[in-house]
Amino acid sequence: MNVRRAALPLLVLALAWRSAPQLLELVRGAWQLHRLPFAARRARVNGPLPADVAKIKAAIPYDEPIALIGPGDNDWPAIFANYYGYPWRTRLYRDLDEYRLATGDPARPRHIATVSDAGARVATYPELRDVRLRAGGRVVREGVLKPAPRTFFIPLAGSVDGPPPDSYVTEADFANDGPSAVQVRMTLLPEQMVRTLTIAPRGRASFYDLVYESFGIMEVRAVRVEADGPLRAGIWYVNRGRGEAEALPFVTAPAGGAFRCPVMECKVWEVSLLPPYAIRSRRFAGDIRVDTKSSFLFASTNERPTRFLWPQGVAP
Amino acid sequence: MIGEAFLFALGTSGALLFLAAALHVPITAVTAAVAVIVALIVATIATLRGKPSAATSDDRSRLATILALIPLLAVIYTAAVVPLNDFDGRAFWLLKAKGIAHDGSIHGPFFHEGEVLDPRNNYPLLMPMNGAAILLLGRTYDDTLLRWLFVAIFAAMLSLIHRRLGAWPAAVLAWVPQFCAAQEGGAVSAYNDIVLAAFVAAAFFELAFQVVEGERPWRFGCWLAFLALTKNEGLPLAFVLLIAGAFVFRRRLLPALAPLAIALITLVTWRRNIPKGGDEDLAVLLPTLPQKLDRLPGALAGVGQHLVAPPWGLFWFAVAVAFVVLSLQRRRRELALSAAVIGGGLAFYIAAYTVTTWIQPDLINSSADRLLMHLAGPALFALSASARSR
Repeated sequence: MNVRRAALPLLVLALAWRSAPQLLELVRGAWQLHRLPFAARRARVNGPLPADVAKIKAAIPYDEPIALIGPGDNDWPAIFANYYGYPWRTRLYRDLDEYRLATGDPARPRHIATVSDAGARVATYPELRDVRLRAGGRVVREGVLKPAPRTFFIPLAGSVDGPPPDSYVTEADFANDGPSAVQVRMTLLPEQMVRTLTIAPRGRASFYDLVYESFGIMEVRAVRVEADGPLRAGIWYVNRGRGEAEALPFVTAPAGGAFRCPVMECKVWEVSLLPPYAIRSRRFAGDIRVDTKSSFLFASTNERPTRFLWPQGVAP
Repeated sequence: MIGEAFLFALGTSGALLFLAAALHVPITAVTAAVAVIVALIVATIATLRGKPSAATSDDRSRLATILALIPLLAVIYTAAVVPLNDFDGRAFWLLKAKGIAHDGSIHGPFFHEGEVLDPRNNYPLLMPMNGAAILLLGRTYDDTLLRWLFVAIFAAMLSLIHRRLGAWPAAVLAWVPQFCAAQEGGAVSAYNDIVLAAFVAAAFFELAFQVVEGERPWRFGCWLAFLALTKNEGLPLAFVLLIAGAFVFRRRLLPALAPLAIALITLVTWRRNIPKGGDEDLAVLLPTLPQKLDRLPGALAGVGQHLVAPPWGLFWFAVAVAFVVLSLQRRRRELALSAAVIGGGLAFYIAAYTVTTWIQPDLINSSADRLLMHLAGPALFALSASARSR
């Protein structure tokens, strides 16, 4: 009888042996927080997400839907962002590629916020793409650099995405082997946006995405390069998503002529080397001949891997 | 008494709001207020009527009551200071409450993928309806107020056990780590397992104390309806209790079927009109049990490990001893009733773990401790009965 009466108190003791330290930990944790304002307690306990979400909501109009782009392997940060952000309208994309794939979907939100365990913030597509490109490393790592003219054109300088995984960039290296610094002036065409850089003596400037890194845009353009000293350089048109690279020539003069498309369909490009520096392209199949006195013409295949056809006498 | 009344009011208001929302009644602060008032009146009538079971001197132990209050006070202090940081509570249950409060409906854009991703879109809505009522009445979308609901449910369950079984069983429950200290599923979280545990206990006591307190099958039926509307696991548990109820009430069980039937029809109808969400469909998976029997040992071993895992301490070992004591004493009624409900619940969970398409150990490790909470009421009954003389 006594044993039975003692059974439950003994069980309470046995359970308390386990739970008392945990309860004490809970109370201790609460004690450490209780003097802090609520927002600070929330930041300590829930991390940066609640405050980050409040900033996103403040930055984007209430009735505008937001694309929440997650870290790829984990939907939960976005789901908790919804918890703290609601009421709002969001669409969840696991990663940037999923957002890319939704190009053309009228429901795809214009505004983007990136969200992960580290927090959330308003972002743009080119910015997120750049973060990924920067982290991913170059395709052309040990490219051969050739002596470059003081002034030349890069006929195709692109920073654009196709359907995943196709992601096109222009990789470039400039090496200054001389004893004094070299100023390099790059002009984006046809906008004529200018960016200058100084390459230290025996220094090097490298780009994993020349157009976005230098001009902050995602477009297909041409670039004029002017240097005040001798340089060795290498320029490549790269499909980062597939690890494919094609060397580009240093264009110094107008050139055109005949091109024979080696596949079903090609594109002929005409880059005007004089103001207003227009860039035009059109599709063709079979043979084409374009003569010019002010432009540089070349062709590219429309099938992967992209191959370039250069005018006679021009080689990368 | 007050704990039981609170739980009944909670179930009634959630069920009423769900029924109203299913019938396209707008869920506003006024609707919420009306539902809460009606629920309080119904709960008062339902719990005041009937003769409460007699208490012994052990049942009234002041020491045990004080011991039971210590974890509760720790939970209250933690809830007052530490912001909610659980998983399911925020990701599923409270997000739904916000969606209902915002849309004023369970047919609106929130449940039709028009606003945000609702990860378990077709989960039952009794607690989100109650949550929405709090948000609407509090005019906020913040969870600070809402989380107190779950602390109150823990307190109400302690009060229910205290009243029905005595102070020592209440102290036992209060000190079970999974109830008082677990971050996932315990009283400091916003998981619905603690609600389901309280409703199972209340429904079970309708059967266990039917001889002493008189029959109230309609009230038993209401608890079953609350179970079905609280969590997916609530429906099979309601059926287990219904089968036990058939032995207790026999033909007089019929009034219990009405609330459960209304709840099920409403739930099924609503679910048919919304996107499914990402959860497993056990109704489809359970018939595959014969083909997956090779996974049964893994399920048995996994659940067995959690019965003796730290979140439960010696609780389930003590329950097993209690069953032995009850059988030696030939107290067949107490033994059969508690063993049937616990066994039925465990059998369902083991079957679910066997047929799951998830990685079995992952699912067991992430849920077993919480699911065992559902069976705490009948287990405490067995412990209490074995510790008493006939």
